[in-house]
Amino acid sequence: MESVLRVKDLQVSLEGETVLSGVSFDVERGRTLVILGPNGAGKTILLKALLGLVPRRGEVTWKKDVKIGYVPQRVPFEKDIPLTVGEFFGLRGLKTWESAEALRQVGVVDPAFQKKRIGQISSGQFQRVLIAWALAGDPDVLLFDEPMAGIDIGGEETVYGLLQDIQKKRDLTILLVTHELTAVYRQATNVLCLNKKMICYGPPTEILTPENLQDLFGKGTKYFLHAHA
Amino acid sequence: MPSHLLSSVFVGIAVGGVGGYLGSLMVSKRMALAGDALGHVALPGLGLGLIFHFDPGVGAFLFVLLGIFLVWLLGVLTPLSLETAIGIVFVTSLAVGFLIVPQPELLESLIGDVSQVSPRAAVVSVLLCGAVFLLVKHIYAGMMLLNISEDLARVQGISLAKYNFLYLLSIALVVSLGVKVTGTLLVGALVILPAATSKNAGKNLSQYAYGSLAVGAVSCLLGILIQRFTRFPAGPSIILVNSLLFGLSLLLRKPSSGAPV
Repeated sequence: MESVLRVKDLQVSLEGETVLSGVSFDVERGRTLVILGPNGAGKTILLKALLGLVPRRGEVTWKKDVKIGYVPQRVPFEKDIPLTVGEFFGLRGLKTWESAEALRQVGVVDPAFQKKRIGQISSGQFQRVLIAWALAGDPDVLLFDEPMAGIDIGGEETVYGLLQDIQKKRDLTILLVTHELTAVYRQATNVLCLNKKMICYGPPTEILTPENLQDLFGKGTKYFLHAHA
Repeated sequence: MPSHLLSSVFVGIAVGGVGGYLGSLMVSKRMALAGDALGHVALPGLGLGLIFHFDPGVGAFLFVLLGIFLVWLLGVLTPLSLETAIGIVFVTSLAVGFLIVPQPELLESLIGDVSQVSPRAAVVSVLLCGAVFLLVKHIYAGMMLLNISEDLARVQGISLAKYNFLYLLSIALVVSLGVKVTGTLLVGALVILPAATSKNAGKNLSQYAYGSLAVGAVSCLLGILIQRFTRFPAGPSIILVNSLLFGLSLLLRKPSSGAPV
């Protein structure tokens, strides 16, 4: 299987403090890597390091000419800027029909939605917009930083399903950051457990042992995998 | 005199328009006051131009560039915030400016005088304004994206350093063109007020940006006409027309549209 991303001994230091170290993994085309860890574990920093947004050491090798879509966890949007949804897509040079197509992929079909101001839509809708924005460039790889945060439970189900649908149709590789174990079992080909350093890495059914989870989230963590999950 | 009036009207419309357009970017980046401070930084340059008989606009431009460089240098060398660094450079330049600008020209430097502009200088100014407009238009989407999310912008391949450089260059050019019209004390208003007005009235980004351009151009036109017919100086008149339009725009503002500008 063709490798899309190869990471070897990645280390990130910010302001003299090592926030990530000893991270090595491979992601193959069309697969999903879930990056799992508690708050403050360095998951977001890992994505940013892969994107080259923070200084890093070690080897990060992307497949040649790979197209990357990125859904950041939070966009501190200045609500006072009179920017419409359609214009937000326009900032990356997309035409109205292209943004309509991207929005359709995340289940937004109302054409009037593009005329709404970003400051006036809900945070869940904004998250959908961000996902559509990332998908609009027809990427080979999607980096999702906690994409479910901000979408209510009802919406969450469709976004998970949506991810799987798109992945089937488009041979999309996904790197998904989360602290939710349910997401892991539904989505992951491989899991990377992270807490400042790499705790474990491999297929979820093999490596998500109670011991590893305790190492990751601390003592007292109990998780039972339900048959329907 | 009509040729002077015509020239000053053209310069006013061009400078006001491009100032408003750039201002829409500065206000949304919460950098509105930087333009104001940089206007003051232009004062010594203006003074040198008056003393040594070269175009005060050129002197202003060089000093604004120097000011931007000093602010950047203070940011690199010290842990001072950007605001503090701008403050230091701004008051120092103002003090130097007061000492070197010859007394008779001081008032003109502070509040501007566009009434005596020659047709030739007007053509140069209007062409420069056109060039700056194209430059700002070129970086507009990228700067807006950087405002919204630096990470998203950088993933799109937008270089922060390049865009910030072009952005600061645009500010320096607009300030040096603007000091002729409203003077160093008031030039900040050319970027702040039209954008603030347009933000109240605009329903989307292009209405906001071009609305700001239009407000800037119209208020300069009206200010210059006020000078022609009342002998009130144009600089303060332009600002007061702007303030009036801003006041009117408050009536258009929907109560739900968020925090004050």
